[in-house]
Amino acid sequence: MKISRRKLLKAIGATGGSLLLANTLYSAFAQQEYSFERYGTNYAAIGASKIGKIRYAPPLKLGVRYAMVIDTNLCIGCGICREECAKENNVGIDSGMRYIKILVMKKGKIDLDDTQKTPEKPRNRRGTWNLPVQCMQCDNPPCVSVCPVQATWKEEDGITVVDYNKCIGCRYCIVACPYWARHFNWKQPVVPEVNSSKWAPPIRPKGIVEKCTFCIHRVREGRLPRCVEVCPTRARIFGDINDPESEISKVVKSRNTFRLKEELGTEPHIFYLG
Amino acid sequence: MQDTKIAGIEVRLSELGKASPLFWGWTLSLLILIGLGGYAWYVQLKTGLVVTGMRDIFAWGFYIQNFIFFVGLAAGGLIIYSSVNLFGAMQFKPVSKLSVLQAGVCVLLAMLFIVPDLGNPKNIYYFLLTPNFQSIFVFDAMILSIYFLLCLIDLYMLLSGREEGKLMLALTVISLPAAIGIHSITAWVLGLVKARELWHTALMAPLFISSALVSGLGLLILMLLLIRKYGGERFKFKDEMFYSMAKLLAVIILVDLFFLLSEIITTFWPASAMPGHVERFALLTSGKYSAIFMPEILAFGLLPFALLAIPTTRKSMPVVALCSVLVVIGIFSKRFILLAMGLAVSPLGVLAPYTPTLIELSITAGIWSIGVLVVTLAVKLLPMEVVEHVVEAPKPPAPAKPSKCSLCEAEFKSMDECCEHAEKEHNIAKASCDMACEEIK
Repeated sequence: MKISRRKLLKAIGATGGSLLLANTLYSAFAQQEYSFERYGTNYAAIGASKIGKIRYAPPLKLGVRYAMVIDTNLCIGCGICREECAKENNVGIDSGMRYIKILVMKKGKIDLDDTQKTPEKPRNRRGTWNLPVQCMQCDNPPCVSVCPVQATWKEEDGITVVDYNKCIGCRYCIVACPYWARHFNWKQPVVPEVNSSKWAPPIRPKGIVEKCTFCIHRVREGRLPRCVEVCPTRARIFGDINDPESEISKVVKSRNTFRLKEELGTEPHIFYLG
Repeated sequence: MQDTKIAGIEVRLSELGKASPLFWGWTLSLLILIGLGGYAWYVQLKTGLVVTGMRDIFAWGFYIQNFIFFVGLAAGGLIIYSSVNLFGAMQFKPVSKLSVLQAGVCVLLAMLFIVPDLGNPKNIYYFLLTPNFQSIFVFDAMILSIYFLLCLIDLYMLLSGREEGKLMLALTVISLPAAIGIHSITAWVLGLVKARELWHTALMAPLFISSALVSGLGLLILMLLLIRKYGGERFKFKDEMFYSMAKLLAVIILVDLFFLLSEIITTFWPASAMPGHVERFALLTSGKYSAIFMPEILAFGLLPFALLAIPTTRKSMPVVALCSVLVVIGIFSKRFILLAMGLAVSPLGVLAPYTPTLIELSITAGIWSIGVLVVTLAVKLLPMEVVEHVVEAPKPPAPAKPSKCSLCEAEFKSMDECCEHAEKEHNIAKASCDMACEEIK
């Protein structure tokens, strides 16, 4: 048996060349698929068709930038937003996954390392205050920058989304997120009552990362995110921070707010009133 | 079976016919371990990564620990190999092929360890189709592939007998920066993450390189010792070569410990201490993971350094072997510590436990076995030895032949004595002693 060097090199060269060609072709194709202009007044597609089409309406109008204000004085830590969010987004709650966490903080300081370590059952106790956290929809999201395969990106209206069909499940985004806002499906999610309303995201498969999307399927239709809608004390305000007439712009401009880990330069878009 | 030639490399298939039962038993057990690992991976694919010990907080575990470890191990082979070609360290020449083999196999295993860590490995081709060049992961995948190819080419050149010449030198000159590249870029996978306080340090890449060299050299010494023991007549390396490697190892251990010290001082010195950093590092020095971290510095760092730095203890093969085992274990646990530094506490301050599960251990054992199998077969079938440098049995002294000096007719018992006389009396150098001396027939 003899395989000459020439043949071996030829085979290697051919493989490399065809991969390069495939890459070029795919890049061109992929850009068309995710471009918004292409869909015009129809719908932007996020992901291909393998787990059912995840399609969201395009941003309501050009220049929208969604943000949220959470008034920590009003939050009673009831956890309704956390549970309703999970139902709305078909989150596999059996594995303990929730998009929203409610941290119980010590009075007098904002120290994330010194919180009550059981955030699952918060109580509005004396000497503590509640800090609901979820994806901050950063302007400079580290999770997007670390994804090796461009499976996650920031939409025009500032919402960071994941292509569930493309994610390879390397979990680098989980590691890189300073807000613990990304969650991995360690097993196939089990959803007791599936929300099958018009644009609700279908149940994600195991082995991929998911996150809060400000209920993109609702806000793109002009509705409020579920957590804002259900909050019994109206602690959450949601809206377009680029619109000077919106309630959220007025609140952010007129009152003292803080954001978490501002020193990291991620420009989070959840503002807290404290 | 008959020996064949594939692309100019001799493949000694006939060795398989002559192989001992020990060889077949060893190969078979490796194959069984690989099979078990494959089954464990099947279970993991079927049920999801819930079968591992990882969760959202401690999101990278044993697989990534092994990945980093093997990237590091790939260093040892290359430093020895390039010191032969670039710096003329001829004492290492007998092991140049084996060094490149070690580097190549370790990089291969590193890449293999990424696969079971992925939740959705069927999408892995997106690395090629839509790479994100802002992600250091993409560059890591690239440099690892390049390095693996370089190792293959180097090995091919060495095996097909093109070890001399400009092309080979050029390849070595490329391989060295590529080796520094794989460590630095793997270090930056952790070091360029600002969300994890203890990882976000510029010292990460230098620390990776020093740890890599320590473990890589340690493993190379171990592998060479094993091959010397079980590899038969073709691999009788000199003790001196091992002492020389041990000396190099001692120096690198010191550098590694110095970098670590610098990191610890920065974390705890009062004017420098940051609360989040201190809390996370205290887990290692006095908390949950101190049982791994403290021995790692003392028993697996300072002790081997001391043993190898003192000439009397260094020049003993059992000590060299022991120290190599210690440093390899030490760096393996250091890779876990590295993950724990960043991941044990979530960015929002919640501590998470992590212990690898049986599935993780089985898959890991399977991948390790692939590497050991490749090395075993390569050593058995390919011309891995460097013939002219294998130590030969000392030549019996030539029988003394009476000779005489042709210049002054003096007679001597041996040629050597005559040569000495010629140098002294007639100023004839020993090298050209035949001008004066001749045998008496």
